[in-house]
Amino acid sequence: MMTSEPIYGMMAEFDNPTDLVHAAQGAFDAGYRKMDAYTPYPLEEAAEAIGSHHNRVPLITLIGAMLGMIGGYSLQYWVSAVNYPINVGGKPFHSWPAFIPVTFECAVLGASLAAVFGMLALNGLPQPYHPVFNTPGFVRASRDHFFLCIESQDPGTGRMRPGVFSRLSILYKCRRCRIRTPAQIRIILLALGAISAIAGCRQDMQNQPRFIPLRSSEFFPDQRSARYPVPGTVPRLDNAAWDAEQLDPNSYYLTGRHGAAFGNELPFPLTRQVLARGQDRYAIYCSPCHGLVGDGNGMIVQRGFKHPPTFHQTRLRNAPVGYFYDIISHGLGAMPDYAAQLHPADRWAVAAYLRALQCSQDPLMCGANIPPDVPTVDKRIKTPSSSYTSPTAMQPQGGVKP
Amino acid sequence: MPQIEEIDLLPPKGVRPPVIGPGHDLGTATDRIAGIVLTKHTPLFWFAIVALAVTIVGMLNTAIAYLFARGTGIWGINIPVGWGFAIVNFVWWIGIGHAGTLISAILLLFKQSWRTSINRFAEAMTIFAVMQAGLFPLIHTGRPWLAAYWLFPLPLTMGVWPQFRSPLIWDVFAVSTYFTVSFLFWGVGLIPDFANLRDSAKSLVVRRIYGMLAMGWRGSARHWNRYETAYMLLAGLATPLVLSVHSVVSLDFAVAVVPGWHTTFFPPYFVAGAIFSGFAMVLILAIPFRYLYNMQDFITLRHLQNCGKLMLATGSIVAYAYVLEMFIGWYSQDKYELAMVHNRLHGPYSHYYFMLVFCNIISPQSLWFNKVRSTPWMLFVLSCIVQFGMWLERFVIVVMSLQRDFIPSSWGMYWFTKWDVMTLVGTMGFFTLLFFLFIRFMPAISIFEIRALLPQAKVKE
Repeated sequence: MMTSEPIYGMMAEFDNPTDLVHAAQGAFDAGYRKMDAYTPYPLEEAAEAIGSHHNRVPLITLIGAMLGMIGGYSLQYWVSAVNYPINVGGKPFHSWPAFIPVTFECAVLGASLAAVFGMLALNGLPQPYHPVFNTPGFVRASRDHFFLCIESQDPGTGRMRPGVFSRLSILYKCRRCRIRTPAQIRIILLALGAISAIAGCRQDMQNQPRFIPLRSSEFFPDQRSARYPVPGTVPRLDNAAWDAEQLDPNSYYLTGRHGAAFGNELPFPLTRQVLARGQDRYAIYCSPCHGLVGDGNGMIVQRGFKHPPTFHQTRLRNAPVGYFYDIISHGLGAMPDYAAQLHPADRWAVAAYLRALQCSQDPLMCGANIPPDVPTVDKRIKTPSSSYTSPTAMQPQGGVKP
Repeated sequence: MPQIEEIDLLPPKGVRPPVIGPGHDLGTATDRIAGIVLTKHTPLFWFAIVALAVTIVGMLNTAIAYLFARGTGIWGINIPVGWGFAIVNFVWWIGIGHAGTLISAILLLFKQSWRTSINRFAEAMTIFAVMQAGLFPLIHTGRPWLAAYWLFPLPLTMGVWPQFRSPLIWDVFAVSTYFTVSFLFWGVGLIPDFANLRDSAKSLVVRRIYGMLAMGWRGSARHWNRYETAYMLLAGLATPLVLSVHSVVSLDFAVAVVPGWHTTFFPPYFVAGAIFSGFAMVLILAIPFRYLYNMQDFITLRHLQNCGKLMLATGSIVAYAYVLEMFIGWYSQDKYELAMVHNRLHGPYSHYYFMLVFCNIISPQSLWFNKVRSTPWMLFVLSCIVQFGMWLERFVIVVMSLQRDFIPSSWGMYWFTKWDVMTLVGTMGFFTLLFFLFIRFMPAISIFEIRALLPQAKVKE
């Protein structure tokens, strides 16, 4: 099995540098060129003997130095004279003597990086696997022994004469294994490829995989992207007791109307909790414009927003509670609808609180009995409007006096 | 093989101690140095030192965390002394790094083969010292998260760029280039030694780790050829670089019109001072290292003597610069320069100045004696004194020039706080931690270069 693999080359081991250099010279003189010596420290004579004299590291270093120099100077020129010129006492923007130190440092940096990485690249490193590592005892190549390998790719290997290797201490056949990328490197490359593939599948937010409302679809037989709820779908409900009303889109609970006319009663019993909830929602969503007392002098209005009508005017005192519910649901004039912020039950609660707010400014409207000896400040309270009719259905129960 | 005690004995007059102790061949030298890393029995003192260093790093973290929470008000800086410990420590640490590059690059170019035993850990010392130095520009504003665009030219939407005519931005480029090049130099030197550790390690995990670090190095003669070229080129590049770094640091001061700073001889003065303190640091590290790990046959008296001589030479340049500083002050006949000289000798910080003269001028004169140069403990004590003196030098330059502003109404004093001291001591602990981790996990002496020095390594004709 092993012998069927191709042979990488012939490897000889030496225990001193002198024998290695002599053997290498002999092999070189015999016409071998594809060979390499392996030494535990830099041995200039060995490199000479196998015919390795010059290399391209200095050229690469020079290129790195030039790139660093040009890059460093260009950066400074562009920053100081073009993009961000700062006038210091009328001195020139292109003050080249001040640019020398950084240019020098950049040149040294470019040259050093080029020298190191150029050397590694020319040497083909990192290369974790190499056939010569299969040689028995090759671990001593990094310690105290010297190796010489004549590779089978050398055209001279076939006619290798025994005389060349006669002085070799030990002769090994170094089996050639196909030089292939080792598994670890392949895994890393695969992982890098996978990462870039994932990056390529990026989903931008402006390009979402969904149907825009009302857009047609080739997918469904009826060519509509909007779908009906599945038959038997059960809506989420507020309160099981009002199911019937909530399920009917024309119910009083959802429209505030009986037929075409606004109703003047709540669809559920008025309790202290409902009013408290209404007060709470009103303070959050309504008071910024309408003000905490409902006079339309909210903070936003004080900063210039359109003034809404006060609730304490005859028209609105007479308005049925369903009317308020309707405006909260659909908006009016400058007021947007609050359907998204307020649930139907909350809209009714706010409408109920509005009525309480109106009573707070006009107790007579709610049928309060003011003894005649109570001094009044507001004439309007003392003499209520004659057109006023008490909305008896909406009288707050049980001592709600905001 | 001779005993350790015999190696430390001074040879007869006229005979220089060897660079490598006698009796080593390629195999034993390799095993001795790689043994520190590959041993199964980490020495107890290593744990003790690392534990102490970790504790001090905790203190550093505390000081820095408090700094970020409260701002630079916890330090002693104020007007007129707005530059305090941060710049003093920065210049001090950067200077310490310089000897590492000098040993690894300049002595390589001069073919001083004795440098081989100490270049690896001197380079590590450089990298770790520059890391400590780099910490101070990052934290000195108390707002390091803004440092990115304060320091580097980054294309941000604000459209703000650094001022390239300022030595402070030159500093950023010089120090970051210096760190990168030192790191490359160190890393390239480590590749063949990692290959050796890969081949010598018994455990599979260790073999895999060093195998990855060695990048498949197999000692090919063609590779060595390119490797040596790249190594020499790096040395050639690092030599002007190291001279430029402390020159640029000195320009931070020299470009300002402050008496005591505004002088043209600052760059050579700073470079000499940097190498002076750097060699002191090499000795502070080498003497305990060779004692703790019994490395007396690789770091011999020859190395200690040579470091001592280099300290004497650079120390003399520094002494000359101190004399010149005083002379320039007098020669200028500028009243502010004269006042600066007077302040040095008679001002509120004059005791700092006289301590500095003792540490950096008087005490190094003992290096004229061979006895001092050849006695490790004397060299160690002297190096500590010099190191303290070089720190004082930067303190004197920074604080004494700033505290006497041009108008007497603006005069002030500078007192450092405990947070200043905790940060300084903390960086020393951080440095020690990094250094001892390095000794434990990487070959602290360049093995392949030691091999090349051995007599067996030469090709006989």
